[in-house]
Amino acid sequence: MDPPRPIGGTDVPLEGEVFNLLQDVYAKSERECAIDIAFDRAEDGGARNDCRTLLLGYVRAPSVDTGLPLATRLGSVSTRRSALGLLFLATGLVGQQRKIVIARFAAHSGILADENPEALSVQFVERVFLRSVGSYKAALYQDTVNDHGYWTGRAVDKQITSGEAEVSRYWITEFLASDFRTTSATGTRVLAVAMRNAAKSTENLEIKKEITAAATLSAGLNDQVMTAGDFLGRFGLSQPAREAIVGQMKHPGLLSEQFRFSAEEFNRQLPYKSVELNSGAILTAAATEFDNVFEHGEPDEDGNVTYSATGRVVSTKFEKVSR
Amino acid sequence: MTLETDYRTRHATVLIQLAASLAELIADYLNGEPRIDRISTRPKSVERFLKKAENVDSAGGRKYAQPLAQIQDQVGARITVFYKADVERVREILLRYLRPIETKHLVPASEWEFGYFGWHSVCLFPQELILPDWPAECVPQFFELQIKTLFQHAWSEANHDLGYKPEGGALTPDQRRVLAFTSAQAWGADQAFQDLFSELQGG
Repeated sequence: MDPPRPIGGTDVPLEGEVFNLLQDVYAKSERECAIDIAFDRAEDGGARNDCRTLLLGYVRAPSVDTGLPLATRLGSVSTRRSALGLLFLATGLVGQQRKIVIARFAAHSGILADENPEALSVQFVERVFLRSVGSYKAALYQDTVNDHGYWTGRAVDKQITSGEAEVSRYWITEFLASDFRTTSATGTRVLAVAMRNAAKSTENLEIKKEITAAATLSAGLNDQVMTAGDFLGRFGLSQPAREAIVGQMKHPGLLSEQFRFSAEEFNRQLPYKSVELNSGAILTAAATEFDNVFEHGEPDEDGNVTYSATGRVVSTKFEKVSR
Repeated sequence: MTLETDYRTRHATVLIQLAASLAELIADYLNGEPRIDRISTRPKSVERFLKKAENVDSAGGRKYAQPLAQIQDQVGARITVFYKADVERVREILLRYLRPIETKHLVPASEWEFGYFGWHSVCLFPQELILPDWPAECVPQFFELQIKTLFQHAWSEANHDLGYKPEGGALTPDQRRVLAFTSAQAWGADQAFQDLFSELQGG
Protein backbone atom coordinates (compact mmCIF):
# COMPACT_ATOMS: atom_id res chain seq x y z
CA MET A 1 0.00 0.00 0.00
CA ASP A 2 1.23 3.48 -0.83
CA PRO A 3 1.92 5.74 2.16
CA PRO A 4 -0.77 8.42 2.59
CA ARG A 5 0.07 11.55 0.64
CA PRO A 6 0.45 14.69 2.77
CA ILE A 7 -2.57 16.96 2.45
CA GLY A 8 -2.41 20.75 2.46
CA GLY A 9 -4.96 23.51 2.15
CA THR A 10 -5.29 27.17 1.32
CA ASP A 11 -7.91 29.93 1.36
CA VAL A 12 -9.16 30.93 -2.06
CA PRO A 13 -9.41 34.76 -2.32
CA LEU A 14 -12.95 36.05 -2.81
CA GLU A 15 -12.14 37.20 -6.33
CA GLY A 16 -10.56 35.81 -9.47
CA GLU A 17 -11.28 32.95 -11.81
CA VAL A 18 -11.31 30.10 -9.28
CA PHE A 19 -13.61 32.06 -6.99
CA ASN A 20 -16.00 32.81 -9.84
CA LEU A 21 -16.17 29.18 -10.88
CA LEU A 22 -16.61 27.99 -7.30
CA GLN A 23 -19.31 30.56 -6.75
CA ASP A 24 -21.05 29.06 -9.76
CA VAL A 25 -20.80 25.55 -8.27
CA TYR A 26 -22.10 26.93 -4.96
CA ALA A 27 -25.09 28.64 -6.58
CA LYS A 28 -25.92 25.72 -8.89
CA SER A 29 -25.73 23.19 -6.05
CA GLU A 30 -29.40 23.77 -5.17
CA ARG A 31 -30.35 22.42 -8.57
CA GLU A 32 -27.53 20.00 -9.29
CA CYS A 33 -27.33 18.16 -5.98
CA ALA A 34 -30.47 16.11 -6.50
CA ILE A 35 -29.76 12.93 -4.53
CA ASP A 36 -31.20 13.14 -1.01
CA ILE A 37 -28.79 11.58 1.47
CA ALA A 38 -28.58 11.19 5.25
CA PHE A 39 -25.69 10.39 7.54
CA ASP A 40 -25.66 6.88 9.01
CA ARG A 41 -25.97 6.46 12.77
CA ALA A 42 -23.18 4.74 14.74
CA GLU A 43 -23.03 0.94 14.78
CA ASP A 44 -24.27 0.84 18.39
CA GLY A 45 -27.31 2.91 17.35
CA GLY A 46 -25.96 6.18 18.81
CA ALA A 47 -26.60 9.51 17.11
CA ARG A 48 -22.98 9.83 16.00
CA ASN A 49 -21.28 9.87 12.62
CA ASP A 50 -17.57 10.51 12.11
CA CYS A 51 -17.97 12.50 8.91
CA ARG A 52 -20.81 14.59 10.33
CA THR A 53 -18.66 15.37 13.37
CA LEU A 54 -16.00 16.81 11.03
CA LEU A 55 -18.66 18.71 9.11
CA LEU A 56 -20.03 20.22 12.34
CA GLY A 57 -16.48 21.22 13.31
CA TYR A 58 -16.18 23.10 10.04
CA VAL A 59 -19.59 24.81 10.05
CA ARG A 60 -19.04 26.05 13.60
CA ALA A 61 -15.82 27.84 12.60
CA PRO A 62 -15.06 27.63 8.87
CA SER A 63 -11.30 27.75 8.18
CA VAL A 64 -8.52 25.81 6.48
CA ASP A 65 -7.71 24.20 9.84
CA THR A 66 -11.26 22.91 10.44
CA GLY A 67 -11.62 21.88 6.78
CA LEU A 68 -8.41 19.83 6.61
CA PRO A 69 -9.82 16.90 8.62
CA LEU A 70 -12.50 16.48 5.95
CA ALA A 71 -9.84 16.47 3.22
CA THR A 72 -7.79 13.97 5.21
CA ARG A 73 -10.84 11.74 5.57
CA LEU A 74 -11.46 11.92 1.82
CA GLY A 75 -7.81 11.04 1.21
CA SER A 76 -8.11 8.00 3.47
CA VAL A 77 -11.04 6.55 1.50
CA SER A 78 -9.75 7.43 -1.97
CA THR A 79 -8.89 4.53 -4.21
CA ARG A 80 -6.55 4.27 -7.18
CA ARG A 81 -9.57 4.67 -9.39
CA SER A 82 -10.64 7.88 -7.67
CA ALA A 83 -7.02 9.04 -7.88
CA LEU A 84 -5.88 12.42 -6.63
CA GLY A 85 -8.09 15.41 -6.27
CA LEU A 86 -8.82 18.82 -4.83
CA LEU A 87 -11.46 19.26 -2.18
CA PHE A 88 -13.22 22.62 -1.97
CA LEU A 89 -15.38 23.79 0.91
CA ALA A 90 -17.57 26.76 0.03
CA THR A 91 -19.80 28.23 2.70
CA GLY A 92 -22.15 31.11 3.33
CA LEU A 93 -25.12 32.15 5.46
CA VAL A 94 -28.72 31.81 4.27
CA GLY A 95 -30.86 33.58 6.85
CA GLN A 96 -30.28 31.80 10.16
CA GLN A 97 -28.76 28.77 8.45
CA ARG A 98 -25.27 27.98 7.22
CA LYS A 99 -24.94 26.46 3.78
CA ILE A 100 -21.89 24.44 2.85
CA VAL A 101 -20.96 22.89 -0.46
CA ILE A 102 -18.26 20.21 -0.43
CA ALA A 103 -16.87 19.60 -3.91
CA ARG A 104 -14.14 17.28 -5.10
CA PHE A 105 -12.41 17.85 -8.42
CA ALA A 106 -10.12 15.30 -10.03
CA ALA A 107 -6.52 16.45 -10.37
CA HIS A 108 -4.20 15.37 -13.16
CA SER A 109 -1.29 13.49 -11.70
CA GLY A 110 1.08 15.21 -14.11
CA ILE A 111 0.30 18.51 -12.49
CA LEU A 112 0.51 17.15 -8.98
CA ALA A 113 3.91 15.57 -9.60
CA ASP A 114 5.73 18.90 -9.66
CA GLU A 115 3.93 20.36 -6.69
CA ASN A 116 4.46 20.12 -2.94
CA PRO A 117 0.94 19.59 -1.53
CA GLU A 118 2.02 20.83 1.88
CA ALA A 119 2.54 24.25 0.37
CA LEU A 120 -0.61 24.34 -1.73
CA SER A 121 -0.84 27.62 -3.60
CA VAL A 122 -3.73 29.39 -5.26
CA GLN A 123 -1.80 29.33 -8.54
CA PHE A 124 -1.57 25.55 -8.26
CA VAL A 125 -5.29 25.33 -7.49
CA GLU A 126 -6.00 27.37 -10.61
CA ARG A 127 -3.87 25.09 -12.79
CA VAL A 128 -5.67 21.96 -11.57
CA PHE A 129 -9.12 23.36 -11.18
CA LEU A 130 -9.42 25.05 -14.51
CA ARG A 131 -8.63 21.78 -16.30
CA SER A 132 -11.24 19.70 -14.54
CA VAL A 133 -14.10 22.14 -14.00
CA GLY A 134 -17.47 20.62 -14.86
CA SER A 135 -16.40 17.18 -13.69
CA TYR A 136 -16.80 16.88 -9.96
CA LYS A 137 -18.62 15.33 -7.03
CA ALA A 138 -20.43 17.57 -4.58
CA ALA A 139 -22.56 17.52 -1.46
CA LEU A 140 -24.75 20.33 -0.20
CA TYR A 141 -25.74 20.83 3.43
CA GLN A 142 -27.80 23.65 4.89
CA ASP A 143 -29.09 23.79 8.45
CA THR A 144 -29.03 25.75 11.68
CA VAL A 145 -25.75 25.21 13.49
CA ASN A 146 -26.45 23.09 16.58
CA ASP A 147 -25.76 19.59 17.89
CA HIS A 148 -28.87 18.17 16.19
CA GLY A 149 -28.36 19.70 12.75
CA TYR A 150 -26.77 18.59 9.49
CA TRP A 151 -28.10 15.02 9.38
CA THR A 152 -29.37 15.33 5.84
CA GLY A 153 -27.98 16.76 2.63
CA ARG A 154 -27.99 16.36 -1.11
CA ALA A 155 -25.30 14.99 -3.38
CA VAL A 156 -24.31 14.82 -7.02
CA ASP A 157 -21.63 13.01 -8.97
CA LYS A 158 -20.87 14.85 -12.20
CA GLN A 159 -18.03 12.48 -12.99
CA ILE A 160 -20.45 9.74 -13.99
CA THR A 161 -23.02 9.99 -16.70
CA SER A 162 -24.93 6.74 -16.22
CA GLY A 163 -26.96 5.53 -13.25
CA GLU A 164 -24.09 3.27 -12.24
CA ALA A 165 -23.44 3.86 -8.60
CA GLU A 166 -19.95 2.50 -8.07
CA VAL A 167 -18.21 5.88 -8.00
CA SER A 168 -20.99 7.33 -5.86
CA ARG A 169 -20.48 4.49 -3.44
CA TYR A 170 -17.02 5.87 -2.73
CA TRP A 171 -18.32 9.44 -2.41
CA ILE A 172 -21.59 8.89 -0.55
CA THR A 173 -21.03 5.66 1.37
CA GLU A 174 -17.35 5.80 2.21
CA PHE A 175 -16.42 9.49 2.42
CA LEU A 176 -19.72 10.95 3.61
CA ALA A 177 -20.62 7.82 5.68
CA SER A 178 -24.13 8.27 4.37
CA ASP A 179 -26.78 6.50 2.38
CA PHE A 180 -29.80 7.52 0.37
CA ARG A 181 -32.32 9.24 2.57
CA THR A 182 -34.99 6.99 1.12
CA THR A 183 -34.39 3.36 2.04
CA SER A 184 -34.51 0.62 -0.53
CA ALA A 185 -37.80 -0.69 0.89
CA THR A 186 -39.43 2.74 1.12
CA GLY A 187 -38.51 3.85 -2.41
CA THR A 188 -39.63 0.52 -3.85
CA ARG A 189 -42.80 0.52 -1.80
CA VAL A 190 -43.83 4.02 -2.91
CA LEU A 191 -43.46 2.93 -6.54
CA ALA A 192 -45.15 -0.46 -6.14
CA VAL A 193 -48.10 0.91 -4.15
CA ALA A 194 -48.65 3.66 -6.74
CA MET A 195 -48.58 1.05 -9.52
CA ARG A 196 -50.91 -1.24 -7.60
CA ASN A 197 -53.40 1.54 -6.89
CA ALA A 198 -53.20 2.86 -10.45
CA ALA A 199 -53.95 -0.60 -11.87
CA LYS A 200 -56.81 -0.99 -9.42
CA SER A 201 -58.42 2.37 -10.03
CA THR A 202 -58.20 2.64 -13.81
CA GLU A 203 -60.81 1.25 -16.21
CA ASN A 204 -58.31 1.46 -19.05
CA LEU A 205 -57.22 -2.07 -19.94
CA GLU A 206 -54.14 -0.85 -21.78
CA ILE A 207 -52.88 0.88 -18.65
CA LYS A 208 -53.58 -2.23 -16.57
CA LYS A 209 -51.62 -4.26 -19.11
CA GLU A 210 -48.66 -1.88 -19.14
CA ILE A 211 -48.45 -1.85 -15.36
CA THR A 212 -48.67 -5.64 -15.17
CA ALA A 213 -45.97 -6.03 -17.80
CA ALA A 214 -43.63 -3.66 -15.94
CA ALA A 215 -44.37 -5.41 -12.63
CA THR A 216 -43.66 -8.80 -14.15
CA LEU A 217 -40.30 -7.69 -15.52
CA SER A 218 -39.21 -5.69 -12.48
CA ALA A 219 -37.37 -8.53 -10.73
CA GLY A 220 -34.49 -8.06 -13.15
CA LEU A 221 -33.81 -4.61 -11.68
CA ASN A 222 -33.03 -5.86 -8.19
CA ASP A 223 -30.40 -3.77 -6.35
CA GLN A 224 -30.16 -1.14 -9.08
CA VAL A 225 -30.06 2.52 -8.07
CA MET A 226 -32.89 4.46 -9.66
CA THR A 227 -35.77 6.85 -9.23
CA ALA A 228 -39.41 5.96 -9.79
CA GLY A 229 -39.19 8.14 -12.89
CA ASP A 230 -36.26 6.03 -14.16
CA PHE A 231 -38.30 2.85 -13.58
CA LEU A 232 -41.27 4.14 -15.58
CA GLY A 233 -38.95 5.34 -18.34
CA ARG A 234 -37.05 2.06 -18.50
CA PHE A 235 -40.22 0.10 -19.25
CA GLY A 236 -41.40 2.72 -21.72
CA LEU A 237 -44.73 3.24 -20.00
CA SER A 238 -47.11 5.41 -22.01
CA GLN A 239 -47.96 8.92 -20.85
CA PRO A 240 -51.47 7.87 -19.65
CA ALA A 241 -49.99 4.96 -17.66
CA ARG A 242 -47.32 7.22 -16.24
CA GLU A 243 -49.90 9.82 -15.24
CA ALA A 244 -52.09 7.16 -13.64
CA ILE A 245 -49.14 6.00 -11.50
CA VAL A 246 -47.85 9.45 -10.56
CA GLY A 247 -51.43 10.44 -9.71
CA GLN A 248 -51.40 7.75 -7.01
CA MET A 249 -48.25 9.15 -5.36
CA LYS A 250 -48.68 11.54 -2.46
CA HIS A 251 -46.76 14.20 -4.41
CA PRO A 252 -44.90 14.32 -7.73
CA GLY A 253 -41.56 14.99 -6.00
CA LEU A 254 -41.43 11.28 -5.14
CA LEU A 255 -40.82 10.55 -8.81
CA SER A 256 -37.27 11.88 -8.53
CA GLU A 257 -36.32 10.38 -5.17
CA GLN A 258 -33.32 8.08 -5.52
CA PHE A 259 -33.26 4.60 -3.96
CA ARG A 260 -31.99 1.09 -4.52
CA PHE A 261 -34.70 -1.08 -6.10
CA SER A 262 -35.68 -4.15 -4.07
CA ALA A 263 -37.38 -6.97 -5.97
CA GLU A 264 -38.37 -8.54 -2.64
CA GLU A 265 -40.17 -5.39 -1.48
CA PHE A 266 -41.76 -4.87 -4.87
CA ASN A 267 -43.15 -8.38 -4.80
CA ARG A 268 -44.33 -7.82 -1.25
CA GLN A 269 -46.36 -4.81 -2.34
CA LEU A 270 -47.44 -5.90 -5.82
CA PRO A 271 -47.44 -9.63 -5.55
CA TYR A 272 -50.15 -10.97 -7.86
CA LYS A 273 -51.16 -10.83 -11.45
CA SER A 274 -54.77 -11.62 -12.29
CA VAL A 275 -56.36 -12.20 -15.66
CA GLU A 276 -60.13 -12.20 -15.97
CA LEU A 277 -61.78 -13.81 -18.99
CA ASN A 278 -65.24 -12.94 -20.29
CA SER A 279 -66.18 -16.54 -19.51
CA GLY A 280 -66.04 -15.64 -15.81
CA ALA A 281 -62.71 -17.35 -15.18
CA ILE A 282 -60.15 -15.47 -13.10
CA LEU A 283 -56.55 -16.62 -13.20
CA THR A 284 -54.28 -15.43 -10.42
CA ALA A 285 -50.63 -16.07 -9.69
CA ALA A 286 -47.63 -14.24 -8.35
CA ALA A 287 -46.89 -11.49 -10.86
CA THR A 288 -43.33 -12.68 -11.24
CA GLU A 289 -44.48 -16.29 -11.82
CA PHE A 290 -47.69 -15.85 -13.77
CA ASP A 291 -46.25 -16.51 -17.21
CA ASN A 292 -44.43 -19.55 -15.88
CA VAL A 293 -47.44 -21.25 -14.30
CA PHE A 294 -50.03 -20.42 -16.97
CA GLU A 295 -49.43 -21.49 -20.52
CA HIS A 296 -51.44 -19.78 -23.20
CA GLY A 297 -51.50 -19.40 -26.97
CA GLU A 298 -52.28 -16.40 -29.15
CA PRO A 299 -55.87 -15.10 -29.17
CA ASP A 300 -58.02 -16.31 -32.09
CA GLU A 301 -59.97 -14.01 -34.45
CA ASP A 302 -62.61 -13.42 -31.79
CA GLY A 303 -60.07 -12.69 -29.10
CA ASN A 304 -60.58 -16.03 -27.38
CA VAL A 305 -57.53 -17.45 -25.70
CA THR A 306 -56.92 -20.74 -23.87
CA TYR A 307 -54.94 -20.79 -20.64
CA SER A 308 -53.78 -24.02 -19.06
CA ALA A 309 -52.13 -24.83 -15.76
CA THR A 310 -50.93 -28.09 -14.27
CA GLY A 311 -50.52 -28.95 -10.58
CA ARG A 312 -52.05 -30.71 -7.60
CA VAL A 313 -55.05 -29.04 -5.90
CA VAL A 314 -53.83 -27.85 -2.51
CA SER A 315 -56.79 -25.66 -1.54
CA THR A 316 -60.14 -24.41 -2.78
CA LYS A 317 -61.65 -21.09 -1.70
CA PHE A 318 -65.09 -19.55 -1.93
CA GLU A 319 -64.83 -15.76 -1.86
CA LYS A 320 -66.93 -12.79 -2.77
CA VAL A 321 -65.38 -11.03 -5.72
CA SER A 322 -65.68 -7.26 -5.72
CA ARG A 323 -67.02 -5.95 -9.01
CA MET B 1 -42.51 36.42 16.55
CA THR B 2 -42.18 34.53 19.83
CA LEU B 3 -41.33 30.86 20.22
CA GLU B 4 -44.93 30.23 21.26
CA THR B 5 -46.33 31.92 18.13
CA ASP B 6 -43.89 30.06 15.90
CA TYR B 7 -44.75 26.70 17.44
CA ARG B 8 -48.49 27.37 17.38
CA THR B 9 -48.23 28.10 13.65
CA ARG B 10 -46.14 24.98 13.07
CA HIS B 11 -48.53 22.88 15.18
CA ALA B 12 -51.62 24.04 13.30
CA THR B 13 -50.11 24.15 9.80
CA VAL B 14 -48.08 20.97 9.74
CA LEU B 15 -47.75 18.88 12.90
CA ILE B 16 -51.38 17.80 13.33
CA GLN B 17 -51.62 16.58 9.74
CA LEU B 18 -48.12 15.10 9.79
CA ALA B 19 -48.86 13.04 12.91
CA ALA B 20 -52.07 11.71 11.37
CA SER B 21 -50.41 10.71 8.11
CA LEU B 22 -47.52 9.11 10.02
CA ALA B 23 -50.02 6.90 11.88
CA GLU B 24 -51.56 5.80 8.58
CA LEU B 25 -48.16 5.06 7.07
CA ILE B 26 -46.98 3.00 10.06
CA ALA B 27 -50.28 1.10 9.99
CA ASP B 28 -49.61 0.33 6.30
CA TYR B 29 -46.08 -0.85 7.08
CA LEU B 30 -47.46 -3.19 9.74
CA ASN B 31 -50.58 -4.26 7.87
CA GLY B 32 -51.41 -7.89 8.66
CA GLU B 33 -48.85 -8.21 11.45
CA PRO B 34 -50.17 -10.02 14.55
CA ARG B 35 -50.10 -9.02 18.22
CA ILE B 36 -50.04 -5.27 17.75
CA ASP B 37 -52.27 -3.66 20.34
CA ARG B 38 -52.13 -0.06 19.14
CA ILE B 39 -50.41 2.38 16.83
CA SER B 40 -50.68 5.94 18.04
CA THR B 41 -49.11 9.23 17.06
CA ARG B 42 -49.39 12.75 18.44
CA PRO B 43 -48.10 16.21 17.76
CA LYS B 44 -46.47 17.62 20.89
CA SER B 45 -48.89 20.08 22.47
CA VAL B 46 -47.94 23.77 22.57
CA GLU B 47 -47.85 23.70 26.37
CA ARG B 48 -45.56 20.65 26.57
CA PHE B 49 -43.27 22.00 23.88
CA LEU B 50 -42.85 25.35 25.66
CA LYS B 51 -42.20 23.56 28.95
CA LYS B 52 -39.57 21.33 27.35
CA ALA B 53 -37.95 24.35 25.67
CA GLU B 54 -37.23 25.74 29.14
CA ASN B 55 -35.30 22.64 30.28
CA VAL B 56 -31.87 23.36 31.73
CA ASP B 57 -28.69 21.33 31.35
CA SER B 58 -26.36 20.12 34.12
CA ALA B 59 -24.50 23.46 34.09
CA GLY B 60 -27.75 25.35 34.70
CA GLY B 61 -27.94 26.85 31.21
CA ARG B 62 -30.74 26.45 28.70
CA LYS B 63 -30.65 22.99 27.13
CA TYR B 64 -32.12 24.17 23.84
CA ALA B 65 -30.77 27.36 22.23
CA GLN B 66 -32.94 26.69 19.14
CA PRO B 67 -35.89 24.63 20.43
CA LEU B 68 -37.70 24.48 17.09
CA ALA B 69 -34.66 22.86 15.46
CA GLN B 70 -33.43 20.86 18.45
CA ILE B 71 -36.49 19.28 20.06
CA GLN B 72 -36.89 16.06 18.11
CA ASP B 73 -40.17 14.70 19.47
CA GLN B 74 -42.49 17.39 18.09
CA VAL B 75 -44.21 14.40 16.54
CA GLY B 76 -44.15 11.13 18.44
CA ALA B 77 -45.24 7.66 17.41
CA ARG B 78 -45.78 4.68 19.68
CA ILE B 79 -46.47 1.08 18.82
CA THR B 80 -47.69 -1.14 21.63
CA VAL B 81 -47.22 -4.87 21.14
CA PHE B 82 -48.14 -7.92 23.20
CA TYR B 83 -44.83 -9.60 24.00
CA LYS B 84 -41.12 -8.82 24.11
CA ALA B 85 -40.31 -10.78 20.95
CA ASP B 86 -42.90 -8.67 19.13
CA VAL B 87 -40.83 -5.55 19.86
CA GLU B 88 -37.93 -7.03 17.86
CA ARG B 89 -40.18 -8.22 15.05
CA VAL B 90 -41.91 -4.84 14.65
CA ARG B 91 -38.61 -2.98 14.99
CA GLU B 92 -37.11 -5.00 12.13
CA ILE B 93 -40.05 -4.28 9.85
CA LEU B 94 -40.07 -0.55 10.58
CA LEU B 95 -36.32 -0.18 10.13
CA ARG B 96 -36.68 -1.51 6.60
CA TYR B 97 -38.63 1.63 5.77
CA LEU B 98 -37.41 4.31 8.16
CA ARG B 99 -34.08 6.14 8.38
CA PRO B 100 -33.15 6.45 12.06
CA ILE B 101 -30.39 8.74 13.28
CA GLU B 102 -30.53 7.07 16.68
CA THR B 103 -31.84 3.81 18.12
CA LYS B 104 -31.60 2.63 21.73
CA HIS B 105 -33.04 0.26 24.28
CA LEU B 106 -33.78 2.36 27.35
CA VAL B 107 -33.16 0.40 30.52
CA PRO B 108 -32.30 1.39 34.11
CA ALA B 109 -28.61 2.18 34.65
CA SER B 110 -27.95 -0.85 36.86
CA GLU B 111 -29.21 -4.46 36.81
CA TRP B 112 -30.17 -3.88 40.47
CA GLU B 113 -32.62 -1.13 39.56
CA PHE B 114 -36.08 -1.14 38.04
CA GLY B 115 -37.69 1.75 36.19
CA TYR B 116 -38.34 2.68 32.58
CA PHE B 117 -37.91 0.06 29.84
CA GLY B 118 -38.60 0.64 26.14
CA TRP B 119 -37.14 0.82 22.65
CA HIS B 120 -36.74 4.36 21.32
CA SER B 121 -35.57 5.81 18.04
CA VAL B 122 -35.30 9.20 16.36
CA CYS B 123 -36.14 8.88 12.66
CA LEU B 124 -36.25 11.15 9.65
CA PHE B 125 -39.72 11.69 8.25
CA PRO B 126 -40.20 9.71 5.03
CA GLN B 127 -40.31 12.09 2.07
CA GLU B 128 -43.79 10.91 1.08
CA LEU B 129 -45.21 12.56 4.20
CA ILE B 130 -43.70 15.99 3.53
CA LEU B 131 -46.13 17.88 1.34
CA PRO B 132 -44.48 20.38 -1.02
CA ASP B 133 -46.92 23.19 -0.20
CA TRP B 134 -46.01 23.24 3.50
CA PRO B 135 -43.76 26.16 4.50
CA ALA B 136 -40.26 24.67 4.90
CA GLU B 137 -39.66 26.51 8.19
CA CYS B 138 -42.65 24.68 9.74
CA VAL B 139 -41.56 21.14 8.84
CA PRO B 140 -39.54 19.22 11.45
CA GLN B 141 -36.95 16.72 10.20
CA PHE B 142 -37.41 14.09 12.85
CA PHE B 143 -39.98 12.21 14.88
CA GLU B 144 -39.58 10.01 17.93
CA LEU B 145 -40.61 6.37 17.62
CA GLN B 146 -41.23 4.08 20.58
CA ILE B 147 -42.01 0.37 20.53
CA LYS B 148 -43.13 -1.10 23.85
CA THR B 149 -44.87 -4.09 25.29
CA LEU B 150 -48.27 -3.60 26.91
CA PHE B 151 -46.68 -3.84 30.35
CA GLN B 152 -43.85 -1.44 29.55
CA HIS B 153 -46.42 1.05 28.25
CA ALA B 154 -48.76 0.61 31.21
CA TRP B 155 -45.93 1.18 33.67
CA SER B 156 -44.58 4.27 31.89
CA GLU B 157 -48.04 5.85 31.71
CA ALA B 158 -48.65 5.35 35.43
CA ASN B 159 -45.12 6.49 36.23
CA HIS B 160 -45.61 9.59 34.10
CA ASP B 161 -48.78 10.34 36.02
CA LEU B 162 -47.48 9.59 39.51
CA GLY B 163 -43.71 9.70 39.34
CA TYR B 164 -43.00 12.97 37.53
CA LYS B 165 -45.86 15.19 38.61
CA PRO B 166 -47.09 14.19 42.05
CA GLU B 167 -49.58 16.62 43.55
CA GLY B 168 -47.71 16.99 46.80
CA GLY B 169 -44.07 17.55 45.82
CA ALA B 170 -41.27 15.00 45.64
CA LEU B 171 -41.90 11.30 46.26
CA THR B 172 -40.67 9.70 49.43
CA PRO B 173 -38.06 6.89 49.23
CA ASP B 174 -40.78 4.29 49.90
CA GLN B 175 -43.00 5.77 47.20
CA ARG B 176 -40.09 5.55 44.75
CA ARG B 177 -39.58 1.94 45.84
CA VAL B 178 -43.24 1.25 45.09
CA LEU B 179 -42.72 2.54 41.53
CA ALA B 180 -39.58 0.43 41.18
CA PHE B 181 -41.52 -2.57 42.54
CA THR B 182 -44.30 -2.13 39.98
CA SER B 183 -41.67 -1.83 37.23
CA ALA B 184 -40.14 -5.11 38.44
CA GLN B 185 -43.59 -6.74 38.36
CA ALA B 186 -44.20 -5.43 34.82
CA TRP B 187 -40.77 -6.72 33.78
CA GLY B 188 -41.57 -10.10 35.35
CA ALA B 189 -44.96 -10.25 33.62
CA ASP B 190 -43.27 -9.55 30.26
CA GLN B 191 -40.78 -12.33 30.91
CA ALA B 192 -43.52 -14.77 31.94
CA PHE B 193 -45.75 -13.99 28.95
CA GLN B 194 -42.80 -14.26 26.58
CA ASP B 195 -41.79 -17.61 28.06
CA LEU B 196 -45.36 -18.91 27.82
CA PHE B 197 -45.74 -17.62 24.29
CA SER B 198 -42.48 -19.26 23.20
CA GLU B 199 -43.47 -22.51 24.89
CA LEU B 200 -46.89 -22.61 23.23
CA GLN B 201 -45.50 -21.60 19.85
CA GLY B 202 -42.80 -24.24 20.16
CA GLY B 203 -45.35 -26.89 21.09
